[in-house]
Amino acid sequence: MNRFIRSGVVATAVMGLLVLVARPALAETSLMVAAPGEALVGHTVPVTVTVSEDGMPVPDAVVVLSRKAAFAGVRGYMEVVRATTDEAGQVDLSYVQRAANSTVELRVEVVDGDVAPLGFVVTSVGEAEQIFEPDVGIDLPGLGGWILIALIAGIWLIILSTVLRLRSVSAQGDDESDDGGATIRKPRLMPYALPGIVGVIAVVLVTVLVRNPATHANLEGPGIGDRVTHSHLGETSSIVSPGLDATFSQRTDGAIEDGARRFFGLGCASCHGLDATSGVVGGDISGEVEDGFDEFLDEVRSGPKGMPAYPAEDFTDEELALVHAYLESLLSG
Amino acid sequence: MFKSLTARLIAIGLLTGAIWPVLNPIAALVVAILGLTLSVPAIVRKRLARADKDGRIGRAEEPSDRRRFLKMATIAAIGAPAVALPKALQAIPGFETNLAMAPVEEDLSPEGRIRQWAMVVDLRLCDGCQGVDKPPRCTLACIEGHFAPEPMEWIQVFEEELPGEGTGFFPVPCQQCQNAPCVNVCPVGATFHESSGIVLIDQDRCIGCRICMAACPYDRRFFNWGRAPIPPEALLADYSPEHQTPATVGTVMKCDFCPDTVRAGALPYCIQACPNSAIYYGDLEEDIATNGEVVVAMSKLLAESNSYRLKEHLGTEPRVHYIPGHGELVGRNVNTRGRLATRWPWIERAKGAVTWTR
Amino acid sequence: MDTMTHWHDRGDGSEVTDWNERLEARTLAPVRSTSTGYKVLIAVLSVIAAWGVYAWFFQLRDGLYVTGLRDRISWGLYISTFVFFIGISHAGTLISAILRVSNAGWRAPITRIAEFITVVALIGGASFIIVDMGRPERLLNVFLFGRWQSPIMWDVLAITTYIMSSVIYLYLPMIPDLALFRDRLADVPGRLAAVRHRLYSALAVGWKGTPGQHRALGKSITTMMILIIPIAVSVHTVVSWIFGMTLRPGWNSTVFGIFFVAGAIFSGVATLVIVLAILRKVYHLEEYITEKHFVYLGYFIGSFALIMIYFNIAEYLTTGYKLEEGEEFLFRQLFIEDFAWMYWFYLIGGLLLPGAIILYRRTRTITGVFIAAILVDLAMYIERYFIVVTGLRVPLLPYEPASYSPSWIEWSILASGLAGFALLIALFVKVFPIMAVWEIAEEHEARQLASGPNVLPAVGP
Repeated sequence: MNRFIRSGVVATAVMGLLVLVARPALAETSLMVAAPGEALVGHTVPVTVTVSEDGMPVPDAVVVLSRKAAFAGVRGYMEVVRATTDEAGQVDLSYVQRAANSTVELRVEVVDGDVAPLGFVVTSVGEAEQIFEPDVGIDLPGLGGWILIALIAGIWLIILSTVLRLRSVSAQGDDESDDGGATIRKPRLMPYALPGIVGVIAVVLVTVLVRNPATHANLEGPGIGDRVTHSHLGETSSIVSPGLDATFSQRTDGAIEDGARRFFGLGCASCHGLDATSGVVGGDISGEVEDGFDEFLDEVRSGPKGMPAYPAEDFTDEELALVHAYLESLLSG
Repeated sequence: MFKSLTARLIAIGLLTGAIWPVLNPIAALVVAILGLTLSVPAIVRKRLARADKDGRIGRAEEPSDRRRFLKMATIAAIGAPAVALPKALQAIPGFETNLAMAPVEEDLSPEGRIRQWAMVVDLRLCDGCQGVDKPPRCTLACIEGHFAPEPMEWIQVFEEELPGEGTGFFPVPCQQCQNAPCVNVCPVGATFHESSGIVLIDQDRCIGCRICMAACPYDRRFFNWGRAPIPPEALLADYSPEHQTPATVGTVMKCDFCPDTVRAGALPYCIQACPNSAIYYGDLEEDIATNGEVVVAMSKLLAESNSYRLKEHLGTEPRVHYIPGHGELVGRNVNTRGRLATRWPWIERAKGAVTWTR
Repeated sequence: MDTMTHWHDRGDGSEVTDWNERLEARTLAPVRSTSTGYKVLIAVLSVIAAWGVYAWFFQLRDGLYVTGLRDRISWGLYISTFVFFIGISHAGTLISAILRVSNAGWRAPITRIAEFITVVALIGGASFIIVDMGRPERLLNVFLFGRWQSPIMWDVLAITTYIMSSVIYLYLPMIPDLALFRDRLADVPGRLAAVRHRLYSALAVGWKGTPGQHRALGKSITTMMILIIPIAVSVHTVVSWIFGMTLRPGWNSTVFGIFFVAGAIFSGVATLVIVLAILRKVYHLEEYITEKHFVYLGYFIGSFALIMIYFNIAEYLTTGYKLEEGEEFLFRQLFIEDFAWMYWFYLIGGLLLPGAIILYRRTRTITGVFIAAILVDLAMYIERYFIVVTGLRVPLLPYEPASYSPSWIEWSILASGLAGFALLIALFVKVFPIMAVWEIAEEHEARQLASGPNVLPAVGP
């Protein structure tokens, strides 16, 4: 009897274990994803997801397609599209391939489903072209700045022609001789000066009109372009904060003053406040300063939450030492 | 064909104006010069001859070198500067690049796709910082980060009456319109679209005419009426349109979407400072946005949250979207009115600085 | 002998009548002698103008902070005065060009003064734009980096073209009169007179009054008179479009162009009446500038008053019927609250009352028209002012509407501008022929020929 009970208990336990372990296999929901391995940037990528349980299609399952994304230091999977499976347990999702990196990691999952999310990768190929372009205004064919130029040029040419007649008036005034003998020609200024002035102003106005770009929005006119740089996908550039001035070192002799100028000039004060304790964005950094220079350097190089990680190319160790020295004097005094 | 000087000049003018966009501006100029030098002296000569005939005093001895001098002088007066004109025009900086008459396509650099910044403000999370009992943090961070002169709140939190009862807060930065009225009216192009779509101001070019301030329908442009009330340190800064420090008297400033920070992968000051993470900042090109905590697909966020834009009927196509709300997700009671007034945090101001009320 | 072309040349035995001599004497009188009253006037005007320059110095030093302008109401007295002056400049175009095109002979005695006013008003308008700039030393940027898409650029183009055309249109018909001055004033002693004589000789470009010269000059004047009309219309249209091209309630209107042009002609004619009345009294030009002229100009004022009333109805009825967002605030501040006294003075005192003065025969006298003109000019300035300020005052977002009151510097510069206007006209009158002698003589001859050679020249209507 004891042996029976014991084996019964063992059998039950083993069976229970088997059931527990094998249950997913028994009631097995599975996800299948059919997606191209490569896609052109800007093109729609079709993704077909099939949800089945024990080989039977699962209708009305909510499927979510997400993409792994990182933006401004925040990472995660962001939902791209969601849809519901039909009677065949299938759903056709699609999304536009537009991520910055060439390897796009995607994931499908079933909402309230017992199945683990299924990840897959779609690589971007081909020449990347701008997808989003601001589409404002209408382009009426034939209209443009040239109409204004022609108008101004025409009007001023007419004005020029009227003042040029002064020369004929002036010349006829020379026909009478003052001394009853040889005709005296008196050189006069006005018949040349006035057309000259008119001509100069006309040329100036037409030049002004011709020189500027005939665009709807005056993109980066002369002199501005080199002070403003593009923000490209997939590209990181160093921060340019108020005050970044290459001629720092020539300005002062004192390490503290140099540090103060750098605390402002390298952009630290923008986030941490001028007194390093009241910055709305950066908060109070007196703790990090008191911990010593090495800790301080670590923090700057690794970038705590919300703060970019600044490599040595952005701020050298020497510069940060000056800043640290200044902050120590600021916070102690 | 054209007998009179006026007719000829008009014809030359029209011909030049017509050839210009079709062929080449230089070709048009050459036509104009040729036409002028060929026609003007001839007509002047004819006039003089006619005056001769009408004249009461006979021209018995008539110094022909005088006539020739007149002809040469006319040709020289018109011809010389006209021939030199194309060269002179090209010597002006920027002339070659600006000569195109057709609308210039956006200058996409060969490195690739350019980010198109946009912002989404989730008003369900904005309570005017009543919850943290402080003046609006977004405004304060912006002021600090850019050393915005004293009365300027580039992002300003307004309170509007809700239909029914109570009020709701909404922060308004520069809307960075795609059809920006300020860019359209600027006479010198000091306000311009950067290729990321944001609108920047070059204070070194601004002439202070303030037509952009009259044109902006969102009251988001601020003028430096006097020497700007900024801390003395700000005067050390190297000015650039991307971070507007220090401010120049007699010029205009506004929110610039923090191009210096976002290009380096950080977020604008206002987004970083919001205690409720109510503002999303994103890129329409990659279709991504974040509020500092989560990353979302921008288009989905806009489509599924009943988002709207301010004064949409004006056609300015702003890049700032709003998700309707009144702070309900942070538990705000709409009948709690008022927010704390913005403070400017510097202790001392630059020498000679004045402040003013808007 | 051909009196028409050689009436002024006494040397060759042509007929010179008393009438011609009187005309000459009257025209030369301002240049021949200077009264003490004139000197006092010049001194006073110069002091006021200099005071404005002194005030401007503070603005240059401290920035526009010294004005009452702020972010919300960023345009005020300066821009209003700019628009007003540009408006006044339409006097010359209307009288000189339009009446010349329509061959109205009565314009002859007044064209010169009208053209003076045009040129001086344009100079005044352009200077107020420079005063309003935040960085006036960067004016060259408009030419280096100018964008043709900007309404301000259109202003620059149109006003430059109009100034040049007006100067030429003032100068060309003045050539025969400058020749007269050159001949008649050759023997006046003194160094100043010698300099003046050289000026007249240079400007008269050898005018002898030959038929060939008349033909050449006539062609030029004809071209300019036709050209200057569309230029003038375009000038005030583009000036109005610095408001009309914005999206503000009150300014976002399609009729602004023509509304402002009508207002410009209106205020221009009124200014002409005022200046004419003063100059006529001071220089005893009653024989030439008669009551008929004032009555005709009064008809202009009256008809344009009606046109302006119509435009007011067109603008305010269509917006008021609908009351879009912001328009209700605009209406409230304009018709009932803060700016009501300005608007109702403008409508009643500046449009209805002058219209009534002109309509009633009893009041249609020189004095009546003069009073109407003063009312009109005052009202038109106030209209420019309240259009600018009320347009900017409408809140665009939920904030309290701002208020604007000009500072002493703005008032000083305004006074200086007006004094400068009067000063320049006074100086012009001292140097250049105040009346278009040859045109008056031509018109007189034409009338004589029409009515018969034995009829004495008529004086008055």
